[in-house]
Amino acid sequence: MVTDRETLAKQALAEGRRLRDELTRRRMLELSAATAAAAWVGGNIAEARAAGEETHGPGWYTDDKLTGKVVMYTFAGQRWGLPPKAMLPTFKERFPNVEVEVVDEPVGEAYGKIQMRAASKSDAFNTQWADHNQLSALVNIGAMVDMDPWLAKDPGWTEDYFKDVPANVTVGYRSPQTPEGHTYMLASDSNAKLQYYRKDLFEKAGIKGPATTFEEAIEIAKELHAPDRDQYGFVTTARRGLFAGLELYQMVRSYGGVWFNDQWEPQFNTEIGHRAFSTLLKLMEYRHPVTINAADDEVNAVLAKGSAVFAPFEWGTSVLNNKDFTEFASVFGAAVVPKGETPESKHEPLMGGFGQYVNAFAKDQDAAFEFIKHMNSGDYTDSRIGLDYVMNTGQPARSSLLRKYADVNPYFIALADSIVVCTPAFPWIPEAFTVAEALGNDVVAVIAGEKDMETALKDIDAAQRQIMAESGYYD
Amino acid sequence: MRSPLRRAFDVAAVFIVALYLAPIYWVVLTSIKPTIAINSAKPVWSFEPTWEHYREAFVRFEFDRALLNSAIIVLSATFITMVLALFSSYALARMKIKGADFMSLTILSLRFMPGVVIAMPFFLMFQRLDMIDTHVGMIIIYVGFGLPFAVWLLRGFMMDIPRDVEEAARLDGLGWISIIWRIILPMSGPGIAVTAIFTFVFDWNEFLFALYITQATAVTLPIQISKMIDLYNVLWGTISGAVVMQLVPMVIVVFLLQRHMIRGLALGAVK
Repeated sequence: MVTDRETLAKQALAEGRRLRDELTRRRMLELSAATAAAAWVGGNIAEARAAGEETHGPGWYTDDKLTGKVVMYTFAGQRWGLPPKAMLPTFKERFPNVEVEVVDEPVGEAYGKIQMRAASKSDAFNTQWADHNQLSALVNIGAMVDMDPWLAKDPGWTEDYFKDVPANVTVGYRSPQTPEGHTYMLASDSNAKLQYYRKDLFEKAGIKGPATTFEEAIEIAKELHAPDRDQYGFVTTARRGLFAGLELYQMVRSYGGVWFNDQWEPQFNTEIGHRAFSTLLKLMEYRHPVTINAADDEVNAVLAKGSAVFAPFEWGTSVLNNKDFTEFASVFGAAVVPKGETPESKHEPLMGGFGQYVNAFAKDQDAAFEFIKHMNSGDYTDSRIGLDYVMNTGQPARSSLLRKYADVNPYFIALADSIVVCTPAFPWIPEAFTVAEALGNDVVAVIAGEKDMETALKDIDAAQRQIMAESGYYD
Repeated sequence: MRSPLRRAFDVAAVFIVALYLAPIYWVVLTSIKPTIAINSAKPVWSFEPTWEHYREAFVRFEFDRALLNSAIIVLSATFITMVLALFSSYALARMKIKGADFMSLTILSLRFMPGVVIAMPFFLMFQRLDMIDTHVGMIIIYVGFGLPFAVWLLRGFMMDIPRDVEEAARLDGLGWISIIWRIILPMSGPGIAVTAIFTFVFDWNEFLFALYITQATAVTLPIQISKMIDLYNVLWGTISGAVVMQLVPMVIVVFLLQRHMIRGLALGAVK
């Protein structure tokens, strides 16, 4: 097996070779970027810098007067840990007097630490990655800086960013989380629930996939389900609590439902809620045994082993297209999640992804913003930025980058198609995680046979209402 | 010749030991398996061993730095804990202190609280003192959290040492410090060994405080290993390689102090 670094270098060079085949001006620029990335991951920064002169876009500028130290907190591992570090060479070219330290921490504990650092008004960092579902809580405690004044200083870049990152993504990083809200985070990273399927098995079974509706998804799960051969027709992340809650909510959204109505009344014990839950339970008849205890890594592990073969709503990830991770890497297809069968149904995958904010309690805020902005840049600034981001396991929020690098990660196309129609995974309120946990507990109770669906739906609405009442939503 | 019953006990003992060692065997095996074999649907018994996971631990996860941090912090904390515990436990066991029993219980009660309850106050205090992500900060925490247990354990061992020996020493003109140094220390060797091992193992594996207090400079092994758990993928090979390496110092310490430890545990058993 080769290391990540070697894999990245090979991927970058392969990208360069591919681009060399089409020698248009644009392709030449891209080729330079690929060479630059390859050179960088191979340790040859000088070569990368030389290539940089051909890769600058109209938004490129440098500033050696900007000084300070940027400490960025991110999550360890692929997608979040590596991309910011990959930004350092090009950032240093632009801002040679800004020092940057990227600190990564275990992802499993990160949410609590983000909240704790912000609540304690820590000045030990000046930017960190956060979930859009945490934004309202972080804004409430005054931890974030409004980015609008900075964005106003560079209208060209701002226009490029908001044109490239879908509006239903960027709205999550505003406060209030409406199109009129002020921007408090820039989202370099995106994700959505995707439909993962095995193209080889679909072809063998004569299934014209992927599934468009959940009715089709049930038929596909049934067709592929062969537990005697250790092949299960359905898998999802239905671990008790938050994960399971999001599974039901995905179904509810696909049938055109909502979590709360305008008066903050929960909307699960409704016709749509019943239909969504029934569909989920039908799919569960073909579930892999790991499903009820599964988070993402468990689902990906059984998909990688070939023991589960169809995941109609699983969070987007590059691991299933990684040949070092699974022997089925080349046959995994990805598509937008199915919708319901009713007229009001729609393809509405739940939205994931992370953004970065400037810490209101820290100094060197200008430098911190420049680093965030640099990381969120596309070809408008320099084509090496997006390339470095993707080649270092990043999953961009910019549609242009997702489409441009679909050869590197085939699921990028499904992700690009999904993020333009995605919807918040939780209601954007400070109680987001509490209501999701409560929802998920009842969902699992039904799947595990501890409750019937009717009782559970009543209990779900009652529990949601109680949480909202205690938080003062009905005063 | 061994009786059938004794043989049955031997077989049972081997079985139990094998059962305990099975996870370690699995971890070692995983650490040298190629990733594709780890993720294979059927167990793969025949494969070409790879050191790639060990290399990955060092190259991508800076395992050497975390190993050094852990060594500095844990060895220092264990040493300081043992020195302080020795004097404190002797005082509580031997000197006529009013309310010694209550004091002992109060000291131990610090361990009654879940760590997470005091992690946040520690974070805030250390932030004010600018001691976040420092080796000294971690040593202070480990000494503070390890001391009650060490004092309590050592006090039990000290109380088992016959008073006559100390009185004889006192008649010969020895003071408190000399008594501790020349009499108590050699006689409570097994107890000290057991306490040191427990303290070392606790600190070496401690996760919660390290998670909150360290960031980049003073990151310890358990934190570095937990970074190998991605949200979408667990790097089983790399984790296994790291765990094998993390086990080595503990195994060495336990082997070195094994003889004392058995005596110490037996001493506790007859108490």
